[in-house]
Amino acid sequence: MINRFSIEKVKGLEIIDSRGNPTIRVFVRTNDGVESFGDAPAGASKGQERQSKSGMKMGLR
Amino acid sequence: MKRAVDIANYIIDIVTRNRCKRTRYKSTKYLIDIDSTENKSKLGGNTIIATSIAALKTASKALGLEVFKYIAGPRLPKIPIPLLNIINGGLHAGNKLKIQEFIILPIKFNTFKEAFFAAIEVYRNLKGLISERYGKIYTAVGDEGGFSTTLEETRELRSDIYFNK
Repeated sequence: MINRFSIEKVKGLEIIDSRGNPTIRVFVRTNDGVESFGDAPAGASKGQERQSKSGMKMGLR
Repeated sequence: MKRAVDIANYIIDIVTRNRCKRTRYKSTKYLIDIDSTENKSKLGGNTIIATSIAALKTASKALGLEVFKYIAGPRLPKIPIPLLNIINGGLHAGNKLKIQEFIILPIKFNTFKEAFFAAIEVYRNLKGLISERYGKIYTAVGDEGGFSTTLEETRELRSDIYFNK
């Protein structure tokens, strides 16, 4: 389904959070050029049940 | 974090291209499905949450709506009750408390303002109490703004909070 609300581009970049740690910002842009971003929030703790921080099995270098 | 950035640029970019993201839940669900692991170890939690937030904000922007209105949909949005994190333990503080966040809930107030001021009053009184009883140095705050006291036992602390009422 292609329309003006469809995603045209996803772009990630590294940012530094308020604790001084690196994290990720992702930009999403639609076909008609509307764009915004989201930042991954940081926490001091990571529970065992929580999600793993970055993909380790993707084979990306 | 380089890996998370690469995943967003080379994988999520391609798999989400031309996908409609009018509903944020669908796009997040889509990423979770693509990842297919229990704990999101392939794409990574950071990459997924950042993309999800970005998709949500972009979708609201495309429709000309504030994010909260977009989330609420046709429902009338209600202002939430402010919860205050008044004492920090666990990994949010350097003390021995096992519980990480002691949170108070100002319920049964008619307005946000009343609830918020009541919660602040408790927080301030607690500060005075800790300062008086243990010394001003123990009113230092932890990661989430709660006091990081020297108390070791959750039990002691609970009586302090109640006393403070």
